Amino acid sequence: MPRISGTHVGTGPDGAEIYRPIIVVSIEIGGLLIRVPAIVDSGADNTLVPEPFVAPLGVDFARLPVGPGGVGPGGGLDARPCQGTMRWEKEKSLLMTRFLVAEPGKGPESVLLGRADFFRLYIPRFHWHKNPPVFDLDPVARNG
Amino acid sequence: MVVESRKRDEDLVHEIEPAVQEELIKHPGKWVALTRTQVIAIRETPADAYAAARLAGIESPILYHVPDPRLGYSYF
Repeated sequence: MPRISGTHVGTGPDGAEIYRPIIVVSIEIGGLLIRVPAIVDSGADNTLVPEPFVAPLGVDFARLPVGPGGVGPGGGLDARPCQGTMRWEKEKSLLMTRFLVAEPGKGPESVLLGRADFFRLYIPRFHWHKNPPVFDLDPVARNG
Repeated sequence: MVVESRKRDEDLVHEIEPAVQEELIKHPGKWVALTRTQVIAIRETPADAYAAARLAGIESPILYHVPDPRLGYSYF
């Protein structure tokens, strides 16, 4: 599998450059498709999708079934299950057909790829000691 | 192991091209529609950015909310 460069997202308050382990995924719902950034996040229990990413695909958060909720660095939030196809386009791989959507106005600014689903398909290895940082995503199927 | 790691460094790929990343960070807090190689539209809302990309003929743009690192390290 290729090594992937960290995505440069800016300069922090202390002047340090910030990179994140981002891949581009597609989300398809009802025949509509959008591409969005997704952070490989070992701290996330489940994959979480910001509401603004699925709203253009016709998803009305208020009509989604009540979900488990969740807690992140920004506090508690309502997270509801949504049916949709998420793929990692570069590798042409199907990641999941169901994910949680964060309530409008709360949650992350990118998709968070969590341990319960994404991490069952790929084994991440972060090389944040390198400059710029890079990461590997090896398929579980090839590594046992 | 070291050889494999060096080979991987040689095969490095970018999910978003570096030049596009550097363009994006000039617009913290904005919503941007882009392709892997080109910024298409910079707007205040995701709906506006998405609509602008569609108007430009991009069927399925990447919709990106530029982080504002001045607010801290959290992605929330």
